[in-house]
Amino acid sequence: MTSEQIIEQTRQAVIDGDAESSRKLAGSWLEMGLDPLLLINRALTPGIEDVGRLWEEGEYFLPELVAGAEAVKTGMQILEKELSQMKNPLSETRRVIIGTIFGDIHDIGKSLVATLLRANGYRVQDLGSDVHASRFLEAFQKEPADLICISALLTTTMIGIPDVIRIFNEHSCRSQVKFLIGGAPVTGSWAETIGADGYGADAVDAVRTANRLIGKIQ
Amino acid sequence: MMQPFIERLNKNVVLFDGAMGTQLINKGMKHNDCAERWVLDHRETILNIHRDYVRAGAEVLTTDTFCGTKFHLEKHGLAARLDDISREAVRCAREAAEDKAFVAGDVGPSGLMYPPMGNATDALLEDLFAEQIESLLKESPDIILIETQYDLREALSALRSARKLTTLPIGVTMTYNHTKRGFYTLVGNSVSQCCQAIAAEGADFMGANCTLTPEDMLELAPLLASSAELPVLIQPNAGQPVLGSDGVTYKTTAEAFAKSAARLLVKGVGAIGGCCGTSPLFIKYLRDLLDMRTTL
Repeated sequence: MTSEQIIEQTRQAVIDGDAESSRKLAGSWLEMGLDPLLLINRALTPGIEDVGRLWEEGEYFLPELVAGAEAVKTGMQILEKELSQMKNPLSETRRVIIGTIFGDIHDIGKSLVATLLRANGYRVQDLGSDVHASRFLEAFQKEPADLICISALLTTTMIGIPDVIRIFNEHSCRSQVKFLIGGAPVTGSWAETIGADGYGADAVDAVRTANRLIGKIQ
Repeated sequence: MMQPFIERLNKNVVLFDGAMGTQLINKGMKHNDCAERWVLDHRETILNIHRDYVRAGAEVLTTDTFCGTKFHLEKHGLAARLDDISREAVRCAREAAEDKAFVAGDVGPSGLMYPPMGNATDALLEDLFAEQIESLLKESPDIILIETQYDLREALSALRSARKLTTLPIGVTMTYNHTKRGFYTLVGNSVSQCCQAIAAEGADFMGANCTLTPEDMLELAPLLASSAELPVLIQPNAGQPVLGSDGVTYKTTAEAFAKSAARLLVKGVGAIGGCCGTSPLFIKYLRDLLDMRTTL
């Protein structure tokens, strides 16, 4: 198989949500001694962008989006082993801290945003779900980030998001980081009201907003 | 003595109640609190919300058990109280209903998802739902309402569980997103797919709730009515949530909601009510609307 064929097939594997093919193709790529970053930039990232486009057009739904993200994650896991032995350009990309707000156990949307951000070259620390405001701050103080993403899936839990921004204000860290929020009940106007910097209508939109807010390093 | 629910449903449009969760927020529930715990710790508040809906003219009261599966409750350390919560919620709604309203045992999404999003299986979800529904049934509700379902497969698991346990009327409402290609659930189920499968699995009525406003549902209502072979229930949201100093509010006024909702009452729509952000006032406006239609 030529390198061009691997690129084409890997991109298709992401579109098809075929994690097994993605893993095998990434392995073949490394066996040929090729630059892992090239496969990320030419196959995994464009592949997940295709998936995002199909989602926005209403052709794809959550299962296809998650399967595509899984295919990217699986391919990345293989390629990252090689990247860790090189000077890793990914480590110089923007850092993101992400979590679902305290009291909210919903994980899927937040995890999807995390995977898509990784696929787009961001370094992501996922704090999980049910994350207290102080844990966002602790993670930031331990290692600063460019962006903090917070998700809430219920009207009853979204009201915890402003607490995170407030605690960053109280600790004089607010100006050092951008806040991106999302989740079913969250709207753009509400994001503005509470002083967040951006809002993602869905996972694909969240990545677009992240790119706009903190800039993507190519 | 009230007539059986199905008989009532076949007569003319039945009015369901409105939101519980957003009512509780306005009554001081904190964002990390468990709404279902309130039937134990703040029973009077739940009772009063139900009573306000009865006074507003609701004919169906929905129990405070939306996140009442063991999966949800154990996150709040309440798994061992599932039976207490479910039973008390039905008793509380019944007390408020007296002989003026039916009581619907509410069943929301389980909190688990099927692959590739999660690890749920039909057997796992059927057991999870059966446990909750069995407890609800101990206090003899009039209806089981499986609602806000975003995955048809999960809705069918809940429906199968309910059907095995009871001959009571069962309703299933899905929550749809309005995509560029039409109305689909989060996982991609179409309206006709949902209607056919839900009817085949033995529901007595079906429909749509949450996510969309009455305006958003104007195209959905006729689609549901033409696809469903059963009476349709529609419960829209009151617009999009806005958080202010006075808590979460919704932009749509009760009057505007009722005005739009009037246009949802196409042939085949047998029941209407409200979802997130609606209050007894919204239900009062709907009551007036329905009464006006009856007298015309």
